[in-house]
Amino acid sequence: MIHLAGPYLLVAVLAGLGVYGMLARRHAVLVLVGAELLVNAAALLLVTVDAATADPLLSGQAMALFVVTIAAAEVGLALAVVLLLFRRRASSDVRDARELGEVARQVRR
Amino acid sequence: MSGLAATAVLAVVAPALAAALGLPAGRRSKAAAVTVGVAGALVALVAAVAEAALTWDGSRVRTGIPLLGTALAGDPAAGGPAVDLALRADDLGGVVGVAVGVVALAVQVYSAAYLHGPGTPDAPTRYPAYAATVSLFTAAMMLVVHADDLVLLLVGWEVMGLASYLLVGHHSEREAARAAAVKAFLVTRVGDVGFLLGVVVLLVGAGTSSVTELLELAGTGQVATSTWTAAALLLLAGIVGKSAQFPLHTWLPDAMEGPTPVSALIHAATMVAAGVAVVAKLYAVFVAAPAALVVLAALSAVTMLGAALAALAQSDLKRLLAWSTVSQVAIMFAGLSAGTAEGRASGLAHLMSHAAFKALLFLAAGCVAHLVGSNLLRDMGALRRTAPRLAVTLGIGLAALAGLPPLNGFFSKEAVITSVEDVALHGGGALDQQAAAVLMIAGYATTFVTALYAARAAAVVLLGEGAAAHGVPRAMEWPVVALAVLTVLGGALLLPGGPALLAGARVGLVAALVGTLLAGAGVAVGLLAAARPDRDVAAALPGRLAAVLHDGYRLDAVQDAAVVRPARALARLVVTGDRDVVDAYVRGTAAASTGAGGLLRRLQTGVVAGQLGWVFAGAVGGGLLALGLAVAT
Repeated sequence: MIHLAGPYLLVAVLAGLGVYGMLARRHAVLVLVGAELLVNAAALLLVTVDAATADPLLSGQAMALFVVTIAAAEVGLALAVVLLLFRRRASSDVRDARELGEVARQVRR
Repeated sequence: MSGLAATAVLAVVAPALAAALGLPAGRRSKAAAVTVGVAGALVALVAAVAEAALTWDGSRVRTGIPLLGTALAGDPAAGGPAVDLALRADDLGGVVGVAVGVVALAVQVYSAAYLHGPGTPDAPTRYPAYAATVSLFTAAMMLVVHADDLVLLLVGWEVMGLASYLLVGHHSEREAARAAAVKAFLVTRVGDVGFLLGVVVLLVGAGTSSVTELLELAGTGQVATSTWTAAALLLLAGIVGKSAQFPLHTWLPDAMEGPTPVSALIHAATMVAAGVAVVAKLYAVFVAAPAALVVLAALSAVTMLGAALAALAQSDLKRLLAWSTVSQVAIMFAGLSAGTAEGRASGLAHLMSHAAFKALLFLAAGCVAHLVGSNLLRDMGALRRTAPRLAVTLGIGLAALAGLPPLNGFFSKEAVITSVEDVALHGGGALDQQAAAVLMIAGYATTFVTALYAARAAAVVLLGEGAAAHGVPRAMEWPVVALAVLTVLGGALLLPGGPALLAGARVGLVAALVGTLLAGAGVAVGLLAAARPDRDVAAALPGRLAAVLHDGYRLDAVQDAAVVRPARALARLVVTGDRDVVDAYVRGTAAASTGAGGLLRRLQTGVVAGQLGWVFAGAVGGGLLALGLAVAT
């Protein structure tokens, strides 16, 4: 049985990389990669915590299976959104898509 | 319900019903409105005549006739007074009611012809509304005369104020008519506040608002004189306002903006007569308050002479008649202020005479204006030649106003002066003897001035050269002739066998002789001026004096400076306070919300990364919170 510090550290690194990817990258695909890293960090955390506890139902591992399924579906949907975004505006920079925000001149009034 | 009670109820209810039915009837046709209005006045007149006949000898009085039920002014368990909204039928109601009915009937018949056709753009006829308001006015006056309870009397009193406002401002397209209506309403309201307080003082001090009970209490001394004095003075404020006595008389000359028949109604039988009727109704209360009688005597002395002088300098026939009303009503109050049974009878006798000859004068003046197309004296003249029958009736009216024998104005005015003279020389009245002496002198002086201005009006309007003109409509002529007959025969009311109400009035030999001499002298001076080219004796007055008299001693300017302007300044201050202080807080809340909202909107940039940043911050914050809670437990 290995020591659990390694997997915890790996979770932290993956989550940090995911947050960085989502907040700092501008390309939609890379933002999506960041999100995938976060999801996988969560799955790994579930498995690790399950190994650390004596749960007869192995609920952590079961949850990890759900996470994998949901992540697969999510990736399909997200890639479709990215594709549509690129088709519409010939750019996959997420900073260009700000229609939901307040326009600056409206704020000033 | 006995016959006597029915007459009182009918006299009040018939014109009230006519007022209610007049508008729907007028929607169908004008003829229907005329019928309803005339029928209401006719039924009221018949009821009043029956009441006067039943109470002719003054012995029958029926009080507490139920009309509107009972209203409670206090907790009955604690012995609070019950206000019984009832009527009374007595000789005062009957005799004054006859005067009201006669004038109302004459005015309704006359108006049907006077207000014909659609009218002009600035003065549309609006006959149905007019006739209904005249009926309402009549009903209110009948209610004042017949009320057995001061609260019910107050209802009639206020409805009368409303009706006068509506009628004076009938031609509301004219700025002057609107201003006159508002002035009449506000000036009388000032007095009415006093009247209301007077009723409250009687209700609290004497414990009742029933006229019958008050008259019984006033003689017994069970209630302190100070209560009677306070109540009488407060009531007097309202009476002075409604009856247009100094210093609240300023509305009456301006009220000439109303249609002429309305002036006849206001001046002859309703409104200004209401004050006299109320003093006569509550006479025992006023006799129990000698201080109030002195005030009444002083006000009437000032008013009768001052208004007569102002009438002398008027350039408008209707305004001349308006000032003469102020003066003549003061003569009625002079009789009442004597504080004797004789004084009350003579004051009421003058009310009856004045009702006849003043209605005659106003209706005749309306005919003259119809012929000439103007109310200004300088446009009139030669009526003797252009319309002889009208000239005779107008001449009778002016002679009665001047107090020439044997017309009714002579008898009643000399009766008033006799009653005041009796108190001045022999005492015996509730009025102070010196005050009575002053009042008597003022009365004689007024007799001369009255004759002078009446003769002036006669010289200007009746005399002169001119050709015959087209006639006046029959419906306008008949009421005038009927009133002229009453004016000639009205003196007979004072003969033995007349109503007991007026039986106390007698014409003393000295007063009759001196009065006739003074009136004759006034008429002679006035008619001598007919030799002048303008036939106008007032033109001989010094210019500045004439101007001051013409403007009614410039009291309007004093009123403007003392009341109107401060009130306007206060109103502006209130507007400023409301708009710039109170409203500022309300507007400030709105501005603060908008500003705070603007700040929050700045967060909504639409950048996905920025919003995700908030999500992560929230997740980290939530995690730290959970960790903290876990450590703490």
